[in-house]
Amino acid sequence: MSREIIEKIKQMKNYNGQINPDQVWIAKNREQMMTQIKNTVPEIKPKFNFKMVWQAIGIFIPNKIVYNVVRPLVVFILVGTLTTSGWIASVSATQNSLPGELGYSVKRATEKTQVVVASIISTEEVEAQIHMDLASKRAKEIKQVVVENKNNFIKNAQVAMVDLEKSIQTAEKKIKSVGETKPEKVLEVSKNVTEKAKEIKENLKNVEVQNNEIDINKVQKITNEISIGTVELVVKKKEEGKVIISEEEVKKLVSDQIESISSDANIVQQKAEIVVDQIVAVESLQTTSTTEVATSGLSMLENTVSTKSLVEGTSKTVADNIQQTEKSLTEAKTLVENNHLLEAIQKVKEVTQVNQEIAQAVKETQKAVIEVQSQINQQNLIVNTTTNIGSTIPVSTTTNIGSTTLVSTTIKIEEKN
Amino acid sequence: MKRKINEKILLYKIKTKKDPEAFGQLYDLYIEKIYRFIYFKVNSKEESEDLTSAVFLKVWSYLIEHKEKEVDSFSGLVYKIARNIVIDFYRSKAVHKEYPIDILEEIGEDDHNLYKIEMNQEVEKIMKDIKKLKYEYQEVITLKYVDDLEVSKIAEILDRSQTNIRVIMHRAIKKLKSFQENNK
Repeated sequence: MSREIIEKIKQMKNYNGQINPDQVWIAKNREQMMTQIKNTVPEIKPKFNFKMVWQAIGIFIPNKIVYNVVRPLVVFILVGTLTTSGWIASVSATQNSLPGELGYSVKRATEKTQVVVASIISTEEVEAQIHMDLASKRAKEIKQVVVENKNNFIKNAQVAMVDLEKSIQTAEKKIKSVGETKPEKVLEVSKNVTEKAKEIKENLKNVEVQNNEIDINKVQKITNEISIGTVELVVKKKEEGKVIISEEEVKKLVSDQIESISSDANIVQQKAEIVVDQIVAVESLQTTSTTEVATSGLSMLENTVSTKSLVEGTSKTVADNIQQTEKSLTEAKTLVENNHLLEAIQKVKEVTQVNQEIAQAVKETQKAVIEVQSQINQQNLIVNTTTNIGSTIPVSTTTNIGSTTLVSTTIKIEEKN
Repeated sequence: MKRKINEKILLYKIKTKKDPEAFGQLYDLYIEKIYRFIYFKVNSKEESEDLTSAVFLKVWSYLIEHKEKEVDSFSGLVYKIARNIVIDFYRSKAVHKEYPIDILEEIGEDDHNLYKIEMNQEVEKIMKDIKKLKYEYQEVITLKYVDDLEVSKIAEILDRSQTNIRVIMHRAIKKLKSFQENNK
């Protein structure tokens, strides 16, 4: 019976009459209403605001969820995105900046943030890679700064050099730690390290070619150390059975290091030859000079070298060392072939050490020669005097390679024939 | 669901763009229901028409002036405003001593206020019986079976719980049954 009643009630709306509105009235009323409400609508369209977004979302999701869940979440994401994108925008604008330029501090700050984040969330092997990446970046920057040759470029390059050193040193620590805690990751790390070390050396080589006032020896030394050290770690861990790597692959790693050091030795030899040529040039300047030393006015002339002994000393010592280097590297290659990899690495290390010392000596000699050269030129320009023949003035510069004295420096004014 | 989303889209347009056409569409959807809802209470065609017009104008004003207030559903809003307008109508009548204030409770029992309408005798009987019910029972029955509103919507309009509404529905039907049996 309930159903019948309900059915009857439902039928009420189907009947015309006063219970249902008159259709004519509906239409008329609508027209009147629309006229009235259109008068209340302003001509200026409302501007967009975020409330419209929530209202639009509220079409599909209950308003309570929109305002208590969706909106806070979206705001959080938006703030995060805007902050990050703003950060990214400013960072990307500064990514190409060089030491000494305006955006460089921002670039460094973002890199430091990256390092901090990596230290929190990443593993040590990833951190090592990040530091090597940063070191490689520094090397590129130094090269670019030197090429562009702007104001204070030497100082700027040196600042970047310091950062480069620090990055490599940090990477080295991380790699040591990886070797102790996660030896299985050492191989992966070594690939990145050797690749980056190669890039760094390449860039620094170009730096020296452009401007030899910037001392790259120390950085080259630590770059070599980390590269060889990582390969040594791989070899050790392989022998301990903690790293899975084929014989061929590990031999290749060591051979690559030998090749790298051999290439460095050749470069040093070339530098030495350049220095010898410079010394010869200085000698010719000296012998054609007609100036005399006036002690009262020209006390700066203190570093004129005995060129003959310098040429002989330099050439002989460098040649000896290069010969020794070649011999050692050949021995290293033999050791690799015979699978004595750790001994081979030891040889490579010795050669690297000697190479480094030669390079340092050559550099210092070159500095001395350049200084002398410039002072002779200066002397020729400002003084037109007679030479005091026979007088000698002691000189300050001496350089040792191993136990051999490379440069004997004396001032000797010789009579011109 | 589709209708619900459509209503929400129209509401969005009204609140954000003050779109009269969107309001016109909502008017078309609800005009008959609101008229019937009011007619059941005031039993006068002219009064029903006037009050129904007033309801929609008031709804429009509310939506425009209270943009910051969220409106979950248009039907809930329009029925609430319609209900309030009817209450205000009777209050104003009571002030002018045309109808006593307690007419809201007693109007269903007063046959003299019913106008004759052209309809089927059965339906007329049921209408008379509905008018005998308590005011709140009438509201629930008409909103549920005449206007086809869901229990949740009725609960929102009348500001009651859904359980309460179901109980009222059950009692109202039971009462109508008893009226029918007594008529026999």
